[in-house]
Amino acid sequence: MKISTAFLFDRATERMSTIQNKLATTQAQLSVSKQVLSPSDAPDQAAAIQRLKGEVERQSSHSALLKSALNRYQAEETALSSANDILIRLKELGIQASNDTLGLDDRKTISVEMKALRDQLLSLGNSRDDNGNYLFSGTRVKTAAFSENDSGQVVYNGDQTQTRIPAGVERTVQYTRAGTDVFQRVVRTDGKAVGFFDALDQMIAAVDSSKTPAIQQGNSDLAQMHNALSLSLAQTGSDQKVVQSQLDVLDETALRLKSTLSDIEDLDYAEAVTRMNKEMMALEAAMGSFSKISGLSLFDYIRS
Amino acid sequence: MSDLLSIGSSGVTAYQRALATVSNNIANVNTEGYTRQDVSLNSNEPREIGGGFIGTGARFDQVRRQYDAFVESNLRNSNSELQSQEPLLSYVNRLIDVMGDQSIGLTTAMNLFFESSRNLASDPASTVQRSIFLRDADGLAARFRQLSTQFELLNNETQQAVETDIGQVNSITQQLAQLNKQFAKKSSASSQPSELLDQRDLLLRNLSGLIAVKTKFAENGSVLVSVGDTLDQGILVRDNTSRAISVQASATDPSKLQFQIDPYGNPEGLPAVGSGKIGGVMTFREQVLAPAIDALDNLAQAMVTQVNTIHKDGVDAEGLLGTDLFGFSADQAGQAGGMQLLIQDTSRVAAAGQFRVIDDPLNPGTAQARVQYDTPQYAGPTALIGDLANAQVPRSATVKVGLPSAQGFASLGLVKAGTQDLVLTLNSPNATQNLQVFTRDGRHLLGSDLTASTDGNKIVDRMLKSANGMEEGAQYSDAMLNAGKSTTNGQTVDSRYLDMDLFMGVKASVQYIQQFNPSTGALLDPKATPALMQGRAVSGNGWLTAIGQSGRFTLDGVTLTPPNPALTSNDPQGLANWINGQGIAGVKASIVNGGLQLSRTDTLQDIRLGLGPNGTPADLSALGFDTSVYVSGTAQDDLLVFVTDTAASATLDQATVTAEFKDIDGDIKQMLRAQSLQVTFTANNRYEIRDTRSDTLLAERLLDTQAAPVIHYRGLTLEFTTQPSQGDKFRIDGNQDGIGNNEAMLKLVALEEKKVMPGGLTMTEAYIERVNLVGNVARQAAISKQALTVVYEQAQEARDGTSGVSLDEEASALVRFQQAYQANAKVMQIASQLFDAILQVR
Repeated sequence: MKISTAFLFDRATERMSTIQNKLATTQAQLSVSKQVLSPSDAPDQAAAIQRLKGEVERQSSHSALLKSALNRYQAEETALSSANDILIRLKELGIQASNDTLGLDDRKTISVEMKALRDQLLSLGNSRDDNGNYLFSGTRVKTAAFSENDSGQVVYNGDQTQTRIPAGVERTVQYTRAGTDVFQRVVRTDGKAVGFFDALDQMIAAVDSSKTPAIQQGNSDLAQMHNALSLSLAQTGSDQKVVQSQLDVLDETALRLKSTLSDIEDLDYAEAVTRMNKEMMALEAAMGSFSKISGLSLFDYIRS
Repeated sequence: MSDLLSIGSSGVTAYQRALATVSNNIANVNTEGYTRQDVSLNSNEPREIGGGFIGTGARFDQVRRQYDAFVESNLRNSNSELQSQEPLLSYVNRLIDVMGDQSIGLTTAMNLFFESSRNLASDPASTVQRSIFLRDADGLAARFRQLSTQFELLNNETQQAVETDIGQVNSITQQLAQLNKQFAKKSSASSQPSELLDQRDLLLRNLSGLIAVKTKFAENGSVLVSVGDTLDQGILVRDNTSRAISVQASATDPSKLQFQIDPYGNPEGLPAVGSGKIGGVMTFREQVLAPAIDALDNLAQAMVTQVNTIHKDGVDAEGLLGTDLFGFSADQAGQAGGMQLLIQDTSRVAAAGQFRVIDDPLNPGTAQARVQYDTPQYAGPTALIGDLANAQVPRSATVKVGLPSAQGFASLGLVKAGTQDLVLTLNSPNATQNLQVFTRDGRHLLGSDLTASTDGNKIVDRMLKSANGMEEGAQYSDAMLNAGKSTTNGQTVDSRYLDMDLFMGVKASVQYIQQFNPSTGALLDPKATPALMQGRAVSGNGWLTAIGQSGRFTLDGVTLTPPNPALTSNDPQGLANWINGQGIAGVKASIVNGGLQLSRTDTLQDIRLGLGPNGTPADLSALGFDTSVYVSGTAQDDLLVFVTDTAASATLDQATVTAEFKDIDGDIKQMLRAQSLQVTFTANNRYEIRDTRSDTLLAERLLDTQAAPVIHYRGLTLEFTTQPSQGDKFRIDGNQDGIGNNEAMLKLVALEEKKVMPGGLTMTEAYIERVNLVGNVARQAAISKQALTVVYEQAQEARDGTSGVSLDEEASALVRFQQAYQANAKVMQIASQLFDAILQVR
């Protein structure tokens, strides 16, 4: 079957432009270092890429939220461990005060120190985090958790709401803490419950006025308060661990997702450069052979 | 010699024409659609000379067109197929680029929206988070609109492409008709000029690139072109007439295009365009673009509906119920292009739930509670029975109920919370019948003390079942039976259930009559007439016996004492005198038409003639009145009404009950929100629920300590983290101040993973699925295109092999004919020389 002249030229140009297209694509891939330049380059992968990118974004937003929770926990831990130390000191003072050998003035001195420690506890209860939000007000983060009213009684201004934040699929961790859960009420032997600061104030008044039975009651109250605070401290610590381990899981998941995404999307440089060389060689061969073959014409050989 | 000359000259002429043909081929080497012309030489007729034949030379017969009809039609068909894939592939790739792009695609916007809802859930009081949430919600709506605009652009562009191509088809068919006219001049194809036939074939090839055609060639080369299923349907070109195709948007669905052949002459519908460039674009429109637009609209509708449902169930920062967060603009309802954010004010973002529970900080126990609301599904009646349910003023209804023996009661149905001004009357009761009103928690509000009668305990047990509409675990209490207000030492104590005005007996209210100014006709304040109660005529000694017992009747709350000394005569006047003698302030009794009439002098109060502790409706009936249950104002809770018959062996008695009410207007969920409930554990396994505002004890129940601690009340579900202890208190209220709760936001966060789209997909997955489907089409189109390109190239090669011009071939033909020409010219020269030789003979 013969090949017409027009056909010969058409085919050759077509083949050369195909190779040139491929070369241009390879060059674009090399400069962006991505295999999939636009979703239409790999239409069957487009959906997978979208899904993976969405997953990666979701993991990172979960991580960000958990990191802010971690900051919060760490601030809480600082405040609570100071409060713990204070309570230990208060217990010491309480035991000292119940010693019968002390006189009225001695006890007054003790009560002065106890009052100072109580005020410190109050200010610890109003600790804030880096953003200026109160840690122990529940969700009323712009209001100080504890304040004193006109008669000197400590009032809790926060709310009891417990918010939980999502930390991964089907998992929530506690986020806000109510001040009354940390500075917990004491339950006395007669079954009555008394607030934390109320019990503390009663103890200080008892020491101040040397009322021994009330001091005994105060000591047992302090023991309860210290236990409860230690428990809160431990709870914060364990929440930190939970969040930290969840962060680690999220990091791993994100890494796995990113590497799957990279397999699909990113360019393998070694393969791309080899491909480029191959295509360049093919183009040179096509161009060279075309110029040689197209130069052949019977007319050149017909002696005029 | 002359023979020699003529033979030579015949050869010269022949080869001259052959050379012309060859040079024509060479000149047309690059002409599109040119078919190579070959020469056909024939020898002339031989002459008979002497005993034999001598040839007379050669002649140029005709130009033969190197044409193969089969190869040509093959080329046309494969061209149609290939051309249909090209636009399909390019448009589908554009669509994927739009849908999958980071800045225009939906996935990013949806992720941002849910991310900001997660952040808002962790800090519901923050105005900063709220404004970020609104910003991302607006971004989502904007992204839907942008995507819809892009789809719209593609729609318009493809429509224009189709219109342009149809215009081209029409112009080609016109040209073909012109050519057919030219062809009509000759009778056979081989006598037609080759160039004309080439033109015809080129036009047909271009036409087939646009739309697949069927052709039939006549003897003289004229062509019949049709685009229908068979050669007879959808004829576009026949002889020298051509028919145009028109394309229009369909009347029923503006996004669909319809084709019609010859719309102004003899219209014929063209159902579909299969192949060619137009077919490719139509395939894209119908199978890829239109479903994508539908899917986007469905996704937008789903997003709007789901988000709005959750948002409307929440409470915003001002304590108001949430409103729609997203909506559609009026002219594009239901379409993604009209999606809008409706809320601009950050304090109207509803993050909080409608109910919240607060653990009292002084609780001895450590249990923490969470509350949820679901519409309650109660067994038992959902309204008053039978026609009573429709007895809205001005209608009233009467039903008869049977009292099965040994059961002792029949349910009259449910008085729904929100019912206004209900009057339920027991007509002509016998001695042991009575009406009873209960709450769903077994609080006995109106009626007679059931536990006291002989069968009373069992009746109550049978009544307090969930099949009658009672809550699980309801316990009987008569603490509020027939309760009312009482004033002691200036303090008013209201011991009524939720402060509702419930009364059983006979009540007459102050009547208000509309008044008009007689001269101007304007409406005046209504005139109040004092309350008036009129009974039926009393007869016999029934009433005499009744009033003689103590504790049977009350009037305005005061129990009436029997007459002392006892009455002997049954003259009805004695009845009126007895009542007047009771000293009830403001009430006057008299006998009118033989029946008791009670009236008031002032227009301030109503008259209530009720039953005392020992009274029954039969007693009131003896005085000429039917006993009714009155619920004045709006019922604050669901009430269950029964008719009882405490006779030791109740036979299948019938009781007749009439009812009417003003309206039912109330949402029990909102009524519940307006209350403030306190759940107190009186023991580890016993709790009571109290409404703190009216200090009403709503329920007393036992808690199963073996199972997980959960309480249900009117649709509220209260879950505890551990078993509560005695003394624990939990307060539930309607979250009126709005801040401090993130329940609604948590539901919105959960929406991201909820499978709300058909096929069990989440919204993000549904969008990605659509991208996947489009991607599949692109992939298939790319593969088809590759395959069809190979087929087309082979067809082209075949055609070119037959009809194409090769310069080398022409060059050798040129040399051949040149030599032949020179040889024949030489012959002529020799003939001339020979003639000269003869002429020189002297």
